Amino acid sequence: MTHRAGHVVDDGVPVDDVAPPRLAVDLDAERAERNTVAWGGDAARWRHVLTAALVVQRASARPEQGHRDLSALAAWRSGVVGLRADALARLDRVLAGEGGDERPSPEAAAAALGLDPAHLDAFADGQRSDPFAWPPGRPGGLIARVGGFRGLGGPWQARPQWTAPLDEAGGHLLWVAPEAGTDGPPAGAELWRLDADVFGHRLVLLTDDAPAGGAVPDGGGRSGTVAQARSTVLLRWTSCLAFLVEAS
Amino acid sequence: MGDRWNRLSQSPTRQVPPGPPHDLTADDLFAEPDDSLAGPEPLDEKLRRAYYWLVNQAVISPFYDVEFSSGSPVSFTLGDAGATLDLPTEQSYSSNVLLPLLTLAVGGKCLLVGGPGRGKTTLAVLMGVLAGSTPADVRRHVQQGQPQLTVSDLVGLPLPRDLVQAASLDEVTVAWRGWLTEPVKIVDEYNRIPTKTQSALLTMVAEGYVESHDQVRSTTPPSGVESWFFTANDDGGGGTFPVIQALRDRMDVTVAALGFNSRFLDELVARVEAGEKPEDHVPAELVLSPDEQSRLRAAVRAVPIPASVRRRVEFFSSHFEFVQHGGRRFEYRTKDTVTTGGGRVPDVVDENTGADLAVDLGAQTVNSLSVRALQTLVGYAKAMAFFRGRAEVGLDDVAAVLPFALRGKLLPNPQHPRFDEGADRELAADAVSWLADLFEQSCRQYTSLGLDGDDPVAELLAQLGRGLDGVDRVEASRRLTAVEARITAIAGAGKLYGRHYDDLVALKYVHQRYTGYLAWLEGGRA
Repeated sequence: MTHRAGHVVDDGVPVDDVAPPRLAVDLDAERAERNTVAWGGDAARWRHVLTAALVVQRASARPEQGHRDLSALAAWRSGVVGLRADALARLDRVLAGEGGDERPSPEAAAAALGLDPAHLDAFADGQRSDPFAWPPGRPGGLIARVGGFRGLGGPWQARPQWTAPLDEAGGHLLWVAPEAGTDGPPAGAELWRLDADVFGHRLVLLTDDAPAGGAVPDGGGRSGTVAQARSTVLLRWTSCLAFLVEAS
Repeated sequence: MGDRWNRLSQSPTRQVPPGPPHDLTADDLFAEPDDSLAGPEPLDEKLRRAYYWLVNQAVISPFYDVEFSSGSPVSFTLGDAGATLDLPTEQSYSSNVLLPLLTLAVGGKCLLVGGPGRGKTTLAVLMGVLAGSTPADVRRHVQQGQPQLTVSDLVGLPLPRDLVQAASLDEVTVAWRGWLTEPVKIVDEYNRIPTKTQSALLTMVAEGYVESHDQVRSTTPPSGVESWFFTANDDGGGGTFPVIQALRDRMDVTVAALGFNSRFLDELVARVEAGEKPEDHVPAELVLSPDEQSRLRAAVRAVPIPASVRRRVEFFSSHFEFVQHGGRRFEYRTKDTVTTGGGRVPDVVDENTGADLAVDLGAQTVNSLSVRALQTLVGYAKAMAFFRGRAEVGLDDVAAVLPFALRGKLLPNPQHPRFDEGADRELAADAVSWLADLFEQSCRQYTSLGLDGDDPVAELLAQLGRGLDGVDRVEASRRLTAVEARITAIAGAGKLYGRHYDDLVALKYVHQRYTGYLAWLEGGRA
């Protein structure tokens, strides 16, 4: 079986083929979906969880409120790692009961995250310190499979050969090259930055001609430890995928 | 079902979202995206995505015969007849998909050969759809080669009214056939077309126009880039009509349509059950607009060939022109002299008892490389490098396309002992493997002769290339002496090979230039 990039929290979670969600009149669902996809999110998952959340919200006393928050939570859940901070702040306000009638219900917020409402508090607590926290639990330590061979939908034509953690949670560097090099990344390798959380990740090409030895160009981030990155990246010589696992 | 066809490779540029990673908000989610940050997709990326869509979704071709490896690939010896299976360390490709795609990129001519039902026409039709035509139009415009095909069938008919009323030919309006200006032109089974019609086809292929009743029509589409795809079930001169040599020579690359791998029958079953054709499902984002086609060709042409690679191609081509007993005057000792004089090159090669046949690569062929063949080789090597995302052409890019660009053009000498005995006998029928091996042998010779570091003829040519400004009589005389010394050194080696022939002709050219310059200097002073 060919493994493809993806996050363990999505494995085996069915995504229905649903119609575009109908949001409050001042919100353009089509544009939000376009942006979600452009930022690396999965449109089908976004529709699926947002539709589920709207069903819950519309059964509440404020059916047309909180759609902006639910859309952001759903986009985060569908893999837009860049929305994590904003979505988490919105979730905190929902749980604190702040924001009055503008906020969605906690049950709707849980549905937007694909969570059982019973796990919502624990999820928010865990996420404040660990971007990989997932109260329902994951089998094993694997968080995500990232990258992959371009012919199978990935970004790389060669294997990732070296990796190094950054000083930010979920941040890593990966050197991609046909040859491993002996004392570190070989000259001319592609250098990629990985930013990941429990739901999604982004890979940004920093340079396609990295110097030998693993020096990081400006803007690539600061070197850190596995503890700071709260994760580690495992590489296999048989695969173009990189495997993001929890820090032990 | 649509999802099955529309699964595309994601390019890295498309996966890099705009802006820093952690600062998106819900307000951004509902804002109009800033398209200025995205930029257009690079054309090499688009070409690669088209390739991967073709091999992963459209055609069932699990063959990876265009191999790239850095270091030594893992190799297995199989059976008792010397078969080996290599597992390349870098991404490798299917020639029967990649070469047609590169043909589309460079605006070339591709001959697809192979038995019936191997997907030759399907591949050509897919190229037409990738160039922006509708599947129905591409299929309608496929020219089916058959023994009754006339020039009028091919190019169009003069209007009967004009034929009756016109006082001169230029008053006759010709109803040109629609396929003539398609960006991708497909001629099926071209070896079944009568000779006269083949000649009309040759004008189109070679000159880019068609003529009928004194009327001329350009076959160039709006993009300025046209590619041709020919199919044939025989590449050995068979068919209803033999293909005229000039038309055969216009085929830039020749690719064999490989057989069906029985392990992929499940995919075939799915297609039969769905009643689908891949050309009806080409994703819109893979289609090249006319502007993209012309930019693509320009970008391919712009890929540089470094001097080190160019020099090895020069060395390779130098082997084949010379034949020791081809003529009397030195410049005429060529295979072309033999052929045009009615002789047989294999017999003349056999007469040369002085050279080592194992070293003399030129002895393996009955002809030499035409300028057109070399231009094709350069063009496709650039396309290969562009496709692989390389900044310049590498030796591996040249090696990858060379067998397909020279197949049917550089012809084996059947009397050479290599094709007659031992483990290499199968190369007589396998032109692609033979040509690949020939280039490999040439590169090995180049290395063993140490030409990378020490190439006196190249230095003399480079010295002349820098110009004669400021070169005085003494310096010109010194250079003349250096040329003569070089010729003396070659003469001292005794045995003469093709590479010496090209060097000696070039040295004579350099000598002539300095002799003329010296005469001018002395005349001016007098």
